[in-house]
Amino acid sequence: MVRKRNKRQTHPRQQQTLSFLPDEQLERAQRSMANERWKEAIDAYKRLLKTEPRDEWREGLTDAYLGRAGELAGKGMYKEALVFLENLSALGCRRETAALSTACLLLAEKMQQAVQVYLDSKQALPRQQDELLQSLFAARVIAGEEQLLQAFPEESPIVTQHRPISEALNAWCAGDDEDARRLLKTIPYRSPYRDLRTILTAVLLQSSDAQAARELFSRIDKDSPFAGVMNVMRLGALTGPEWLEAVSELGPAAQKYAVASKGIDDKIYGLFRRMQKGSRSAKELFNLLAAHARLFDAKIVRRACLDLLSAYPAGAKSYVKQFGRPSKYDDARVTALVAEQQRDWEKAFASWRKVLDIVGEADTEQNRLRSALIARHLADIQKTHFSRYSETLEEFLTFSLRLDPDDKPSYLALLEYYEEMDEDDLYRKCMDRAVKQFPEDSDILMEAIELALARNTFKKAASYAKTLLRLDPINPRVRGALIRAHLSHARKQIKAKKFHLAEKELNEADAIEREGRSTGIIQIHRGLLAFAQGNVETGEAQIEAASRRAGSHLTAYLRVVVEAERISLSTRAVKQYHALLKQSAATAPDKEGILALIRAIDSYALEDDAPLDRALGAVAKYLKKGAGLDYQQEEMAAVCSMFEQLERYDVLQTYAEHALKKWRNDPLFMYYRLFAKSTGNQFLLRPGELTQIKDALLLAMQRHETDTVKRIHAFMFHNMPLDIPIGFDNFDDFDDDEEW
Amino acid sequence: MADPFDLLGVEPSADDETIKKAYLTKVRAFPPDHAPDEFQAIRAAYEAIKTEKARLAYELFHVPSVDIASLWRELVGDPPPRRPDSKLFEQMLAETLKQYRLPADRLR
Repeated sequence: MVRKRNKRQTHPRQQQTLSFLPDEQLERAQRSMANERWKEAIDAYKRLLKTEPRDEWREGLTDAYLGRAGELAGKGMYKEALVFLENLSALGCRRETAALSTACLLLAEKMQQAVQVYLDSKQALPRQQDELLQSLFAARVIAGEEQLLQAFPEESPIVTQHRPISEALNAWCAGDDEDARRLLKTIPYRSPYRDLRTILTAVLLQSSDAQAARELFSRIDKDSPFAGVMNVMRLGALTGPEWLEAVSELGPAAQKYAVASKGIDDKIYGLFRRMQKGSRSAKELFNLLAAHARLFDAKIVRRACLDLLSAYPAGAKSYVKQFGRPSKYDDARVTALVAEQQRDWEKAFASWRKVLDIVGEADTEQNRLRSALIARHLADIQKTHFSRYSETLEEFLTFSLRLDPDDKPSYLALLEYYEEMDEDDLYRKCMDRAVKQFPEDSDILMEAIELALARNTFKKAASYAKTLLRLDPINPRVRGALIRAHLSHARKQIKAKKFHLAEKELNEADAIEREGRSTGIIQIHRGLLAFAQGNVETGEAQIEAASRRAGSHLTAYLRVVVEAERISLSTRAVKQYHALLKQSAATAPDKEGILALIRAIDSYALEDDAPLDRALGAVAKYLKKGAGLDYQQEEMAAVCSMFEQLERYDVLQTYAEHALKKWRNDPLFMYYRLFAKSTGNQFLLRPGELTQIKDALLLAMQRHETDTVKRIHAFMFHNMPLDIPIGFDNFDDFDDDEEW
Repeated sequence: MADPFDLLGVEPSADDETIKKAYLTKVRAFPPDHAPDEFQAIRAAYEAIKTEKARLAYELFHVPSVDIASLWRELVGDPPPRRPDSKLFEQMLAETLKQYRLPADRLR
């Protein structure tokens, strides 16, 4: 019968120990020694010595004992280490073990024996070992074992330098830094107290030269008996939780020392430790602080607890019970902050209004500023969470500017409001005030230029633009606006048949246009000026040159048709361009031609131009044919955005559909397609399309496409307040089955 | 955002000039090319409190941080260090010596 093999595998090392062959044991002993596996080496040598008491094996055993003693000492097991060191003497060990023995005796608190072994062997000790032992004795003496001094000869540096270092330490503890410095200077470099001297010097520098102090601390060797002291004392440079964290890892005596030297009460330290160990929730912090309020200045702890209420509103009752009612101001302000965090905007709005009333009761300069800030905050809540078309918005912004006129964003917000509400007169007045307040601000000036251009006050626009160009010479928007101002003025002059003045305006526009940036528009105006003067040949030459700059003939012709209609010029020469435009639009489109045309159309988009609308009719087919060309996604998005703005639904739908072929399910293009299909009227969407637009919104939210979300929201809800948290970390809160 | 006063190491009552100085000192210690994250935080802190208006806005609208660092700053601050009793020093040294690990290699 075959016996089953034991499944337990024998470890190779176990196999070796089972062998008693001397050669194998010797090899094992030597390998263990080389790898500092002292216990194994001791075992191997003991086995070898049982076979034959050879001197080299005995020596090997003593080395292994010495190694094991050192290993135990390194782990702080000094008494155990001493047992091995004693065994060495029994073996008649010839090796020097005095240094290790001294250190172990000293650290095992066998002081007198330690001194005896040290003094007996001092002469034979290598200098480095002697220095380390002296430093250990010195640390022991400073740690309260002064009786050790009596065992040393009077001339020993441990004795002679004890007095100055002790006095320096006492002087430092007493705050007599001058004396401490003087005494530290008397301690020589090779002193056993050298590391303590360095540490005290560093501590003396800590407040005046932290870098130098750090450098001195770094000189303390990690093996120095004073290294632990250094680790505690350098914590003085830390503060707050960092300090708390570091101190909490120290032993009890070191913690007591660190807390005392930090200048804080033990109980305060205990409280913060409890805070640190706990859940650190607002509730727990509030309760702990309220329970230990007596440890702090009443006013400060009251403020801290009040601050915590904005994160732990349920603590309000306890707060009132312990500290009494907060001031009306604090009460309303904390309520407002809590409401904002809970997204309760009605309550937040009402509470901030209350704060505004309270602040307004005391008319100080600071309170006026506070009132302005609160009014702006209220305007912001109104605009973001209620209605942007409410008079309340205007009231708060106007009120805030009355108290603090130096606030550009409020002017811009107010201008935006007036623009949206078609309050032209108020817009103009507000703009005048804004320009007066910020005569050199680019945002305000840019707005002012646009307004002046829209109102056909060209000189004003040109004047603002010149100021802005002086401040920001390479601003392309300003250059464009200034050129537009001159061209508008030139058109006015052509219409009034003041041709020389039109020429002057065009020359000014030419001077502003940067080289290589020409779109041909100035030359087209020159062409029209020539036609108006009956100079057909010059006019045609100008327009031909403009075509090259415009990127295509089609673009130049479109511009000629639009600009001519704007100045009511309908000469035979001009009429030929209507025909040319139709002819060019019948050709096959290419990407460059389409993009050049789009740029030209886009330049009119701001101007709400009826002539453009008519001209677009002539190129609509051409544009649609070009929808399937190979556009980048950004190009396609920009094109769609422009047709959305122009409300050219037919063209927009074609482009969006082509875009969706390339970028399937892209929420932006899904929106454009449905927006175009319903001609911008969400009530015309069919049930299936409603689902699609909802899907597009959810997808845009998932992808954090804020702009798309806003577009869809504006389309579906007609700019009702957008109270969906954009960023959408709480996307799951959005109920998928919610009725629209 | 961490407490901007804390981050710049200034008192809440500090004026524009003091805050600017503290900001510039911090920027020198954490230049944008070497410590971009720290610089961003310092810049944000400075923007939050650089003018009286900004400080008032901070006072009105910031939601206090619920953390131990803020409580420490508010309740304890940075008290002037005290010199401990020499007896405490002695006890601390004795304790650290108990935890001392002998570099036995240097003594063998």
